[in-house]
Amino acid sequence: MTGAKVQAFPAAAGAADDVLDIRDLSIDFRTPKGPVHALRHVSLAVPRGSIVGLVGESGSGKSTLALAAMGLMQGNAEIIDGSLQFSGIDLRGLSPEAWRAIRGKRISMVFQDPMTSLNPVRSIGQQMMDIQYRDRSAWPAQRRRKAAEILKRVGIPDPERQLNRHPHEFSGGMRQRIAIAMGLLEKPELLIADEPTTALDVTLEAQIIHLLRELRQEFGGSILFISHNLGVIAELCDIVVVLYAGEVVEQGPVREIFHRPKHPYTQALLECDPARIDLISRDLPTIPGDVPNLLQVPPGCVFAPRCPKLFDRCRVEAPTDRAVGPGHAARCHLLDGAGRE
Amino acid sequence: MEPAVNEPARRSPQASLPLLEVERLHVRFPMMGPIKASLFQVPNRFLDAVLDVSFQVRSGTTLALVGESGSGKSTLGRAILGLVPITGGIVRFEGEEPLKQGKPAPAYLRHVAMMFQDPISSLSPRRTVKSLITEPFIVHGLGTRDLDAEARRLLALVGLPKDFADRYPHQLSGGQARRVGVARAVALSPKLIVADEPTAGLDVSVQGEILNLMTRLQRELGLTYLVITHNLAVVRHVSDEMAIMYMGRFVEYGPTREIFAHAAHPYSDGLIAAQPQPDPDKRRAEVALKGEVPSLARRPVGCEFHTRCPQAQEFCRRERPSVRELGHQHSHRCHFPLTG
Amino acid sequence: MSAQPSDIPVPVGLAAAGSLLRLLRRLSHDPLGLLGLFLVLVMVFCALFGPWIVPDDPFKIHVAERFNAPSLAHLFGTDSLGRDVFSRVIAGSRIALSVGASSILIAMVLGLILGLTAGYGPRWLDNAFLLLFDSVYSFPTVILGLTVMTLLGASIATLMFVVVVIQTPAYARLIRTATLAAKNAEYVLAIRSLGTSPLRILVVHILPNIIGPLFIIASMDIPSVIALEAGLTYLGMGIPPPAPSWGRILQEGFTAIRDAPWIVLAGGFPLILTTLGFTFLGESLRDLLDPRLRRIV
Repeated sequence: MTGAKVQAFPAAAGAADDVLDIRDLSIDFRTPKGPVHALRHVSLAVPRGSIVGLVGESGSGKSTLALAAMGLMQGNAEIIDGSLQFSGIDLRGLSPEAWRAIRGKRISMVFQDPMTSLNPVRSIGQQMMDIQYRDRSAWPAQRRRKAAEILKRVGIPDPERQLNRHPHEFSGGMRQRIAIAMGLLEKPELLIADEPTTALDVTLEAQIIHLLRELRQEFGGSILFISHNLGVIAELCDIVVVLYAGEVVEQGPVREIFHRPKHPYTQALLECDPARIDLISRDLPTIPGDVPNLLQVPPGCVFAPRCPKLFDRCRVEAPTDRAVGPGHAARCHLLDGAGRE
Repeated sequence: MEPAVNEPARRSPQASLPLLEVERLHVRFPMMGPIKASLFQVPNRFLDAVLDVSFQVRSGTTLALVGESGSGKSTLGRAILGLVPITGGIVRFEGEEPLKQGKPAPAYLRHVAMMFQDPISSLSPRRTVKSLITEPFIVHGLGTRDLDAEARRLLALVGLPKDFADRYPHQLSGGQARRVGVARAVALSPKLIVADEPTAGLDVSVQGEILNLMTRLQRELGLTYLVITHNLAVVRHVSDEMAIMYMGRFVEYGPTREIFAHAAHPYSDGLIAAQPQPDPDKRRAEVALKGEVPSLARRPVGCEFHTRCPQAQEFCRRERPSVRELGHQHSHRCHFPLTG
Repeated sequence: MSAQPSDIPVPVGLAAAGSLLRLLRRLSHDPLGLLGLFLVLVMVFCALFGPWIVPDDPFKIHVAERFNAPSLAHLFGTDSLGRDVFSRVIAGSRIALSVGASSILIAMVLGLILGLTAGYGPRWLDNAFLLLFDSVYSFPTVILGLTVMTLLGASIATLMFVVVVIQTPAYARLIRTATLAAKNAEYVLAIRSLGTSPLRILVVHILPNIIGPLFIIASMDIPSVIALEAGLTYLGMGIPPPAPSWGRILQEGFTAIRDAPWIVLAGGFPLILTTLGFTFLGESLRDLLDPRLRRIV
């Protein structure tokens, strides 16, 4: 094997100042048919103050990664290797009490479906005050004021009165704004957003993206933004991580990924997006084939069965990360100088 | 004598007549009974999901119905198939009015089919793929045909292997289930297919497969499509004409290229601008359209878009715009259009 | 081509062709379910093969042997007429199962028909049915049973009639609710768009999807029916003697409780085991077949 394994993020900005540091993480799901290898040797970092976009399609494992970072994985999920660190704290094997101190306060999450992620029987004011339970010195009136302030900031008109309302009294777009407000209430260091705009109309989506950009600048936190929508990722993120079938196949600064993608999957994905195709065409490109069965991961490169640039080595040997530029790395034999053999 | 089902549909001798013609269609749903409405003093107990919609579709073309939630596009699609009752207006198919009697004429449903939004839940969970795609034959009294052969033919037509015939919907991926939906829709070689969000829930890498399949079938079988979607990037590529709906009305209607190049209505313009571009150098500083769609129960007075329109004027708040023609079969509803 | 469902959880329905073996294999992971299955099978076995496995004739009177305590010869002792209680219990299982199972089956069929019609048909029909169901349903069970038995005379047929009358509304309501939900499901809309007749929609498309839970609930009602019979017989209005129904054994046991306390236990014991058996099995099956609890990763 030529070339040493390269750390995708050289200690440029000081790797010690990464809010989320994931190295070589592998997660399996225990099923009656055997372990499903949902994530394999995943490494990525969220530098403090940045927005990292996690791009992946079905079967990529992106939601598993998000849930792992919140300690909310399913019962049959198991971290079998690697490390998961938040601001220097090892999240593996963290006790429930330690998690409670972190969740909602230092790491919070916004989910895809605003209908189901809010408690329907409590008013949003009550829910927002509940989140502040750790702040024992604050009076209820102070907590309420804090909630109203952030509601105003996310664009909910007349926030004082709206605090008494229940989730079902709001529209979908408003609900997602409320969910974001709840996520940012305690000014967390990391906000994980799992497909927050997928269920919304495109005009609302644009508003939410705009809101997240503004808020992040104001509050200075970091965001891990998960989506399968390339347009939204391009609008919002500083760094992009491309996930395929449980592996990180490429990651780098957003401009690099969109203008100079180096992994065949990233390239194909960009080619398939109809919004990127200038010439009107009835014959649209696709990536033929399916995501592999993660019960038995084939040897060699995970993308090999569908790769248009496949050659012999790809089927037998799994590629390792290669640096292609500052902060930009991809996992492909083509990047290995001695490529074709 | 009917043509054999697996021959491509012949062009009717009246090829100059549009295949589907809709005039001032109105679909209204009662939200509550009249007694309750007067008890609670509700001023308007109806929701107008589709209001004053007129358009034509020529054989062999694709019309895209575009809009956000609540625009009425899905209801319009269902109304054309007779799945929801029509309150007013005319639907003409090949010159006839199949929905006049309330329930659609059975012969009509042989020529029109629908593909539903959710690929898996639109398939009966306990039926095999084979029985699902051959159901149209049984329903229309053609059950004496060799259904096995028809199933094989249809599976081949949509690019699924033969052994899928014995699978159940829950054993299919999203893309495969969509293909089964396509197979069922084309089973009787219809003339018109209404496709409700054909790419929803599909990964970008497989969207092209379904769209290419639909295009191929359009050429081979002479199909006409009514595609209901909110995905403008797809609309730009696959449709010949498009109609943009807002709160149940067409706000703009015309050739797709025209509208993308020179949108007349501010909503069309805003919608096109709101599509996120997969290019970090094309980020927008400002949001195109602010606010949300008003509730259908409380329609704004005057132009219904004025509450969100970046160039709304006093006149817009009072007067509702009627349909204006721009030439080349391009029409819109705006007092101060961006072009023309 | 390896056709893999995506990691978006695809709702798994029943392992639809109902591969029994697969189900049993999964059941084997659930100890309570297995216990339930075992108990139910024991009862079914006794009911089917009763006449061949009884150690003694359940009807043979042997007055000299009355009130013998349990022994090797008479596992549950003898009763006031010297009959072997164990044999009577086994014989009673046949009555319990046949009355219980067949009346529930009839109630299921009726409930299905009425429920489907109420759910899919016009609003006024639905309202009419609901009125009917709720009126019958709100009548206290035992009082209804006693009344009917008194009016029509106590017999197995009357008992079954009572069960059917009581259970049908419950099943009909269940089916009606499921039909209402299915009516608006996308797959029904898709079938309607083909021009399918309502009858075909109901029987071919909706029915197979909603009947699963009905089976499970109905099977868990079987022990209640058996208990109902026992209760009615105990109150003097059930199946007439000398039929060795479990209720009869309980009643005789109560009369003779000072002389032979074991009889009451013998009568109550199979009742408890059967109830537990059906309940465990039913719950286990219900959990196994719940699509939301199964995800493909």
